[in-house]
Amino acid sequence: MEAQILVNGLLIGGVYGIAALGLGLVWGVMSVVNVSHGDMLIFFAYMTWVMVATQALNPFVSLVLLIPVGFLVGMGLYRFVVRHLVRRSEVELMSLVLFFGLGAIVYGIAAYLWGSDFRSLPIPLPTLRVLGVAVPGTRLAAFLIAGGLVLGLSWFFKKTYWGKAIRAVAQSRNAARALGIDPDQVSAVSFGIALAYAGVAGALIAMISPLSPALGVAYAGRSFAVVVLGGLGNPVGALVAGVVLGLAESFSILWITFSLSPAVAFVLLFLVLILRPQGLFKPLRSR
Amino acid sequence: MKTVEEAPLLVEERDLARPLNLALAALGIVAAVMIALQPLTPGASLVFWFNLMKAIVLALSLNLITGYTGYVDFGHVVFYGLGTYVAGIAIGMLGIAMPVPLWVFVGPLLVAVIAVVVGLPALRLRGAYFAIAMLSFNAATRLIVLNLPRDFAGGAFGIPSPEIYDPRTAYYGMVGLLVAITLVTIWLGHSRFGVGLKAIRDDEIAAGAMGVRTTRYKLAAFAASAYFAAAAGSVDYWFVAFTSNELVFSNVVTVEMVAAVFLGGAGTVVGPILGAGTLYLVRDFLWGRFPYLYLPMFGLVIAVVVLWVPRGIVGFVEDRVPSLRAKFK
Repeated sequence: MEAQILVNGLLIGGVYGIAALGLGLVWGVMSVVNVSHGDMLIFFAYMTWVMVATQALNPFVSLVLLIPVGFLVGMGLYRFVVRHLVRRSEVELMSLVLFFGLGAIVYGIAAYLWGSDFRSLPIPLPTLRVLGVAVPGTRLAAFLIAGGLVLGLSWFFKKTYWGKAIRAVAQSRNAARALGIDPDQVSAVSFGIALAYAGVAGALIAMISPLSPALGVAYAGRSFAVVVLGGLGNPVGALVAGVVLGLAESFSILWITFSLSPAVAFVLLFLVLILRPQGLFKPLRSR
Repeated sequence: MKTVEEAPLLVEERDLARPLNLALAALGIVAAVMIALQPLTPGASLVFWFNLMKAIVLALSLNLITGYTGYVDFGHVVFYGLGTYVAGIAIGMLGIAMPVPLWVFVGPLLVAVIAVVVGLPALRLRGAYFAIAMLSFNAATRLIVLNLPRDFAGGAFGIPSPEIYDPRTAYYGMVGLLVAITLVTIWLGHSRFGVGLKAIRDDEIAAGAMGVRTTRYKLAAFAASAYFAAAAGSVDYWFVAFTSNELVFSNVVTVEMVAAVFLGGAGTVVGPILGAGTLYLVRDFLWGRFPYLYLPMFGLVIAVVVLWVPRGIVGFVEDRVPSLRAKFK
């Protein structure tokens, strides 16, 4: 029983990790707090559902399609909306309120288009049995995709020009500009990457759980918990924090009660914020 | 670095000596109209006026912490929800023998105590972290209340108390609440306490260095803000004689409060009243016709205000008619 719960928590934890990445990246790079992140994730998840249900697409194909879609949406959102805020003082606070409003828009549209019924995809991969423990193939694939992409991003930050430029802008916009990096361009790309990852995460969420627009709040809580635990924009930190959260949620089903398990992320988040607001891992900003 | 000339004054002169005229006149007119209209109109309009007043009280309550102190609270609906539950549990479940009007105003004191307990650690967090802590506090509270024993908090079914159903009297409860919170907000503009809160909003460290007891001030503002939101909740319970988890902890209510405060102008008396009133009328118009449009529309209002009119209607008018500046607050 414990082994089964361990596997469940571990596998879903990878998805929580990748789901939170975009939130932490944007926050770390430009002090913009996307409180609508959860609603955006669920919106992408619904896009996967639409592609699979109406176009009979393979969900993994829709996942690949959502990468450029997310990237363009993110670039556009920065260019047309967020850019006007970043130059002001009080960016963090105003972005908080702005995205609170955007979240209401995204949620409202999802609720209008897809109602409050649960929608779910047919499970694409069979379940394996390893040493008496059931390992759902879809969740295993989701975990591997999430883990691979998260580690890939970590490599990208350390080794590529754009990755280094993003870290430079996160440390200081002005110093980056003095070195010939355009902070606006880099911020736009960061926002693009953030939403591309949100697109992938959305597709994975659609594959592993039934969808309802109200799920956005749960994923917002999980993403904030992961970001705060794992350090702003630290990909490996996010993955580890995601697994910690996944395990905490699944063991809470065993130890407390099933209907309280969504509260775990919120309680964890509240406690971490109060006890250790600097998180457990180094943020993107530090070297 | 800012030069001395550019640095914002912590305590502006006009904060200390502002005429009450406009705010008081607005309050008087609103209250008079509502009290006068109520007995003349049939039931449906009673609901309309009651909910309008409720929206204004909730916006003003958020304004106490977010407008004056600068702590954006994305979980403020939790206090409203707890207010309905305090009344619901006391009256509907435990049947505590106390007159309903008394409960409706004493019960929320419990919620203010909860706010102090939560605020003690949470108000040490700055900016986004406070907002998110409150967002998660609301979500966790909602789930915990849902999972309390059914014969105590009603579970998913909620708590009905048909025996106390008396909307006409509850209506006056809300009128009293509206008058009380408006007076408190006006007082903030003229008192040492209010000036201290604004100093915290402008620069908390400097305020502390100037001798403002920041922790006490923030906690007091937070408790007052929670009390009024909770009282709006218990009066609402009195009015409809029902509460249910799904409705009273909904983030939609927080969205409405935040939109009202920022649309009207945070940290003023007139702003949240104007903002809540305007949005309420728009919502009333949209709700019946396009039920799904109204949440995105509220979101759009918030986004537009943040991007183009960050100081709300009040700031917008002030910038164009400087002579009004002193009278607005």
